[in-house]
Amino acid sequence: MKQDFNLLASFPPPRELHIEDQQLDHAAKEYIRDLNLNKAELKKAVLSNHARAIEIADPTTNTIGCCLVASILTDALRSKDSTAIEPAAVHQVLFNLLSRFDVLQVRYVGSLFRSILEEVCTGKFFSPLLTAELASAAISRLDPSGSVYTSAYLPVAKLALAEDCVEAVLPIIDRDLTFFPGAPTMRHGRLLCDAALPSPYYITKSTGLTDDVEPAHVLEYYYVSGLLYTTRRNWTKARKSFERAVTYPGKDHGVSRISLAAYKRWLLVGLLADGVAPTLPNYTLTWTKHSFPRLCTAYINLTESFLAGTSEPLTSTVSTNAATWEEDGTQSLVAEVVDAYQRWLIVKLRHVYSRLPISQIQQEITSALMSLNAGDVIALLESMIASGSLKAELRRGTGGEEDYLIFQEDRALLSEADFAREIAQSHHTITALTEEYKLVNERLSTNREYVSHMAREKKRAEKEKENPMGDFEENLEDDEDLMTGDMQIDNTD
Amino acid sequence: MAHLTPDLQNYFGHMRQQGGVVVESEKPPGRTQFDRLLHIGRSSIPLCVDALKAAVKEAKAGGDVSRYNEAWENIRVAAPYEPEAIKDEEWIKRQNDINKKESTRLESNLSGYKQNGIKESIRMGNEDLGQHYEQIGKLREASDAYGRMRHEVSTTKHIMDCCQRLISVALQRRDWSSIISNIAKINSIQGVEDDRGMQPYIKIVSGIGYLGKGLFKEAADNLLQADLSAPADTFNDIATPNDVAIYGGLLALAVMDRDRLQTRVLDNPQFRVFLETESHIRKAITHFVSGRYSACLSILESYKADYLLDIYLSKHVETIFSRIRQKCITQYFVPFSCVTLDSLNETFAHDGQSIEAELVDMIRSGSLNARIDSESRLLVAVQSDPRLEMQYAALKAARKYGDEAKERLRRINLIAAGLEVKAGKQQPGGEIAWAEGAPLGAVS
Repeated sequence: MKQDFNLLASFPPPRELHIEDQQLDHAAKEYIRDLNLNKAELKKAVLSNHARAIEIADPTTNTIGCCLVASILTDALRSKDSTAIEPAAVHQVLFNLLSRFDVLQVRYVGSLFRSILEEVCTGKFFSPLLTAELASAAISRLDPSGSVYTSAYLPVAKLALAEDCVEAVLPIIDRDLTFFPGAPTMRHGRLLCDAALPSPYYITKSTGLTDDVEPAHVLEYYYVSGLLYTTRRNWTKARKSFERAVTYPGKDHGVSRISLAAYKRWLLVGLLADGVAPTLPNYTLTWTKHSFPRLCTAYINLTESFLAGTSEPLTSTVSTNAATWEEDGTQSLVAEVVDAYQRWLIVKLRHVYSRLPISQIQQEITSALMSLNAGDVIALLESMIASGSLKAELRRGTGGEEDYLIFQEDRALLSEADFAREIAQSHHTITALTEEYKLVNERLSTNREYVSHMAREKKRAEKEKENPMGDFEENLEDDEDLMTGDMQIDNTD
Repeated sequence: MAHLTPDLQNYFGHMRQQGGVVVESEKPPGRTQFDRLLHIGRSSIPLCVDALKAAVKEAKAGGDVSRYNEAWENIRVAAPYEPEAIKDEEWIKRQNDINKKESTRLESNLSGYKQNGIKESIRMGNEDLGQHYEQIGKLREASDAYGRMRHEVSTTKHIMDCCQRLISVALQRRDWSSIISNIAKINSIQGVEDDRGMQPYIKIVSGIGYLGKGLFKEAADNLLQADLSAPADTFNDIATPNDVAIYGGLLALAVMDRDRLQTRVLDNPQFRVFLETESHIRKAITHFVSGRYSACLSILESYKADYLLDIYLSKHVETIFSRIRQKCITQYFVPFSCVTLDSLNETFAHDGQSIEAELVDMIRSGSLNARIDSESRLLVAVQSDPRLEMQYAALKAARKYGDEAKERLRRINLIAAGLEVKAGKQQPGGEIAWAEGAPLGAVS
């Protein structure tokens, strides 16, 4: 047994040796090979003295060993192989592993790590909040650049939505994911333990850090992200997420029910975010652009009545389509839209007036939905000013004078330093994107299909250069009359 | 409107000899005369009965029974005790028989020409048939017959004739797109630009076509290029020079700024000839260019009733007037940083009314860049800070570039990973090809 623990403890090489990446890569592969060869003995040893195994396999220094120990212990706990194993100890191992794993070593045991993460995401080890926090932190550490979508995203997002712990997963939901599993792999010739290796190279199905995903998986992730932002009342980000589900690429006129559900919510959160109907970006599929409005007439009518300027069409649209909202599960969002109507009317007054009396505001919004007295209007304005949704000052009249709302400039002049900082930030983002584009270009340029397509094109171009008429003359039948298009049939035989 | 009897001719001849002023109405001949009479009869209270009576008379002078029925239906309701309100069933029956016989004759002639296979005869046969259908009010059949002329054309004159016939029918059918497309065909004929005789016809018809479609800028551009030095007989069955002056002048006022009005309208020697026929339009434009906006508007208001009786203009009068009025208010405000609402009311509002609601609409639509200060009763120009604008424009451009680049990258990678949604099974009764994906709420 001591021998087995010696094997477990034989990695990583001592720090004092200052080994190079290549040696570490070699040592990790050797270590995994040895562990696989002695798996049965090791399992027995871990189950008989798991406390010692846990002590040896510290995830900070030996993530590979820790993954194995965690896997053995969770299997044992699941199958109840050993009654001596305390669940608390297993929970501790899992907690330590997910929160302190080594970001380089974990790339060698991707599938094992992923299966542990997936099992934790089922929520049977920790409270939902802790599960969401742990999984979110693990995903963030695996991919610091935050650009690669993995099969772990959707379960975590759905867990957060179901258990109402949105805050915990925001760090990963906020990411701009631009790479997806299933893209052609590229021979990069770099070591997995290279700290500078871009994440799309190591978060792949071949390393096991992600599984293959289906289009519906990614679509649903965007849809759930939109719902998560909706629960946070972050309408702008919710609109962006739903928009990604609506504009999701498709072919052969293929669209999804998820996209349609997202489209309905996209219209509603668009109204809440900007007070105007959102517009689809130019890369939206033509089929989607034409068919979705036809399929969602109730929502289109609601949008039009919101912008009509009078409340009657809005209230009648909301009441006549109550069954539709209930069926689609959008009642609460529709109620939000109705609630926001008066506030957007006030905000839009800034485009017309520089200052106006409260009585006039009262008159403008009293015709909308419900009547408010002057005190209610002032309370509403104060709450809007306090929340930052209205940049204005409320000037209370003295001695019988009327109260006035004075609109302020909603954009403030930035100082030179702030402006320079903002520009530098944008520059940094664009530079990072340029790197990602280079990566995609390299990846697609070495794709087998692309290379064979280019070879074919080159061949064709050379052929055309030699013979500008192509095969036209060769394809002409001898007796074909070009002017009439008739074929003269030779009946002499 | 009434025919000039010999007695009247003698009377006006005598008046002329004595140096008196005699005004001749310049209403265009042809089929538009009936349309104009009927439109006036339907729109004008004082002229209603006279116009409808004249329309009935005009209809009976031709062979179009449907027109007679339309005019009679109107006069029957408007003036049931007039002699014209009694339906002339005998005339209808007789005219229907004549029309039917003539249609049969022309159709059999045409089939004879087709059997002989002489192209020119077939073309002329179609032309005759088209003219007949046009006269009896079968406009769709007329358009089809004229359209068939196109197959047998052999000279540019034939193409031009064919297009002009089609335009004539399209004008009666109010098919503005067809007018514009046929004008484009005439314009594509080689050498037509040198044909001075056709120039006013092309420009005026184009102007009316674009006006019908509500494209005021294009309409004004065409009408202002019309040249009256060419003979008026090419276009006077469509519009008189007075009509051209009114259409062109009003539309120019609605769409052009002061500089362009000066150079393209007042200083335009070709259009000036038209303007002389309607001096009030010239005065209104001159007032606008000189900054006397209320004078300009009051001239136009005094002639508004006339414009509403015009068959091509009536539908657009309110829009054109509203645009001119908005331009006047905007131009009035240009030299000031703020203007009192009272002075605006004094200049533009009708008696006892306020201009504030109109200003609100203009600001909301973006045609006026100003804000209303209800406390001081001022209209204040929006003063933008160039530095602030620059900062926000720069940051917005950078953000937009970054967002678009990310979005495109995301889509490239989704497609490269084969993650596009593909068409699934056709839903019964549904047009959408739904993808077979995981149902909502299920964990993949």
